[in-house]
Amino acid sequence: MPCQSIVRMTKIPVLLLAAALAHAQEPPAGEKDRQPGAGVPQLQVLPYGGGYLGAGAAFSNTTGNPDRLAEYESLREGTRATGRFSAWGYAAGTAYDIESRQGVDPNDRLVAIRADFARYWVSEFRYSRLLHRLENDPLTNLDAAKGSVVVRHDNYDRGIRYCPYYQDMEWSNRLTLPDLPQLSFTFDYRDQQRKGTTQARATSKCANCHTNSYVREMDQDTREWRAGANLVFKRASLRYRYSERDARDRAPVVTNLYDEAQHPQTLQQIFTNRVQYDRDDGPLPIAVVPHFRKRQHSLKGDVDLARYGRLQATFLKARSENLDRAYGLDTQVASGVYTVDMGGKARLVLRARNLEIDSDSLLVDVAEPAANAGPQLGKTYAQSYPSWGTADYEARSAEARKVFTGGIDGRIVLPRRTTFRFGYEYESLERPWFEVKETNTQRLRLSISSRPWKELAARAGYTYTRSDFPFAHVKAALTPEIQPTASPGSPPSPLLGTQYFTLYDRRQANLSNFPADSHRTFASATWTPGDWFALSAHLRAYRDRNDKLNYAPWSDSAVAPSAEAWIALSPRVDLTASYALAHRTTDTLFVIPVFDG
Amino acid sequence: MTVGQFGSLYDSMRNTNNDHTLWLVTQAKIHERLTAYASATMVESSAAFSGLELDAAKVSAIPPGFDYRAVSDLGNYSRLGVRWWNVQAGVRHLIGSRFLLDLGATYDDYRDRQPYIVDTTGRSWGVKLGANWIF
Repeated sequence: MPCQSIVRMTKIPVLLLAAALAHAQEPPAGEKDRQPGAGVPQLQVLPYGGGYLGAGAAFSNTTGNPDRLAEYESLREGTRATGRFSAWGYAAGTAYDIESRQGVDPNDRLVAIRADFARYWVSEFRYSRLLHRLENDPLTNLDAAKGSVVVRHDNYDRGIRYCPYYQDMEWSNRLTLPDLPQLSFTFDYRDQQRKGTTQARATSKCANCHTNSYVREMDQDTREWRAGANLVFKRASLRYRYSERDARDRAPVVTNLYDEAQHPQTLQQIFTNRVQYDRDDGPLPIAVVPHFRKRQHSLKGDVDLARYGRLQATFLKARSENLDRAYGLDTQVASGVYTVDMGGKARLVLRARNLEIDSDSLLVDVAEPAANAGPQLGKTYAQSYPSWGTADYEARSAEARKVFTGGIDGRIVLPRRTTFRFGYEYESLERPWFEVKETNTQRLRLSISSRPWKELAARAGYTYTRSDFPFAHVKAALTPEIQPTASPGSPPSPLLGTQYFTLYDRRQANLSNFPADSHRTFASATWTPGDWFALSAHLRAYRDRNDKLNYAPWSDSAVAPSAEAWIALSPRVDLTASYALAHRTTDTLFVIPVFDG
Repeated sequence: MTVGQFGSLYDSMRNTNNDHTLWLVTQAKIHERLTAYASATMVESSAAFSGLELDAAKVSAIPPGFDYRAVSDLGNYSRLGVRWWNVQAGVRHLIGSRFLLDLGATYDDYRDRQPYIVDTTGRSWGVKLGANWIF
């Protein structure tokens, strides 16, 4: 009873406040003009208040690895103090609700405050912090050798347990003018931080595949502020929002000294024109997080056309940018929804949405060192193999696209408390900077929900989606036989045989993990024969398949049945039991190239 | 290339994942001021790749020292198997109309049946005691 009573007690002020607000929305006729701040409903409720203060202790003992057992759990060895405090109430026109908690871990804490100042200013503050245990990869699987070709590793973070914390602080405000209740303003600020340490890795190639791991500090900070205005009339509303988000990591840079690029057997520096940097360039930064910023404007309008329906429209414009490289995306979205009731038993919704994402271009200017030894001495890779072309290239994002989506949804009310829903959607997607230029998708949705008898409620649905050319990596794998003989030279020289760029150019297999056909279905039923027993059963299943790939289809399918039962064994004892199964299979093409050197 | 390049070996590969979750909870109102609760959760998960059969006879030659059939054993390395038990029990006692005592115990047993690189097996048990003043 005690804990439930606390839950109930937290509900009481909420219910009182809701009742007060509902009552306040209908001021007595004539009173509105006499009051200051006419039009803004006044709270008319007696002062009340309550809360609780809790203190305690927790003891725990852990053996083995806590990383999975308590990935996000507040878990500390030994005896630790805990505390919590909550208060709520209403006085002098102000309603408040405060909640705070401190777990056994210093990084497990919560503070939430909500205050409503006579509905002119509603302010909410929330601060939470939680820990996240991360694995320390010992890299021991990177340990192999074939002759002088070696895969090896060095851990510079051995014995470290990574446990950074995530902190989220948000303050949101809504301000309504006393003399102009149709107009309100919003101002929100949010600060998310990730601090602690994590594992950073870097790999040197040629001569060995050599991976190093380091302790990397995290000092990530994502700050976002939003401001907006709302204009609400009886049959129409208009809302504008501006937001700006800035994310950066201020942690000290971790560096790695890459190995010398050289032949693994002769130790000649004949490979320096095949890498962009090696030991000669000194320590270089790794695991760098770019400085990121996003700015967004959005405008939303809503018009109630009475018996002719309701019209909603939204326009959004945003720019997201990597400030370290002056490289970004511009996004524009325009959408509209028209809803109309057709005789009370049916409703129709028409939807349309147009999305455009443009990508900046960025010249990737590759470092091109020359070979320090061997037959290509003094030559860069491009100079050594003119048929390859140039190393530098212009990058544009595959995220750039134009997407038009149109659809219709309907709802029909049938006898015996049964509702039938249907929907159709068409999407046309164009990608200007990706090899799969266009994808057209059609989607059909059907569902039904019914409560034919008081004891039984059931619903079921099915969605079929078909895409003509889903997103794919064209010619991603499977190189044919090109050079079935040893390379020229004695011993055979890797510089004179087939090069990687030739292998990549000749790849044949297209790979994708996006479906061309998708079937998704669900069904659910609840049987309640009395107030002492309830039984529910659910089923979800899907089958996604892409048979447009040229070597082997990709597929992903799952079935997930579940059931739960609740029984009151006596007026004082109840029992709940549930079982869920999730079975999933995924098929894809596996390819391994056959060559050495 | 040095000793030659002989194309690619390929086959379809399947990943299978099964998750079973069983959950039981009971609450009893022993008398007006004392309630007790107990819950048990068991999660059993397994996953593995299978179906990979690379036939070296499909390419004209194999570089010396390589055994591509061994790659077909990938399923043995990819197996995941976990059983996780979580058991909780406790009592809550209201003293007078202002004080609430809360006593609870928790036990977790996470068993990694197919450890690879890192063994994630761990166990934990704990006891918590709390006193709340309601105002």
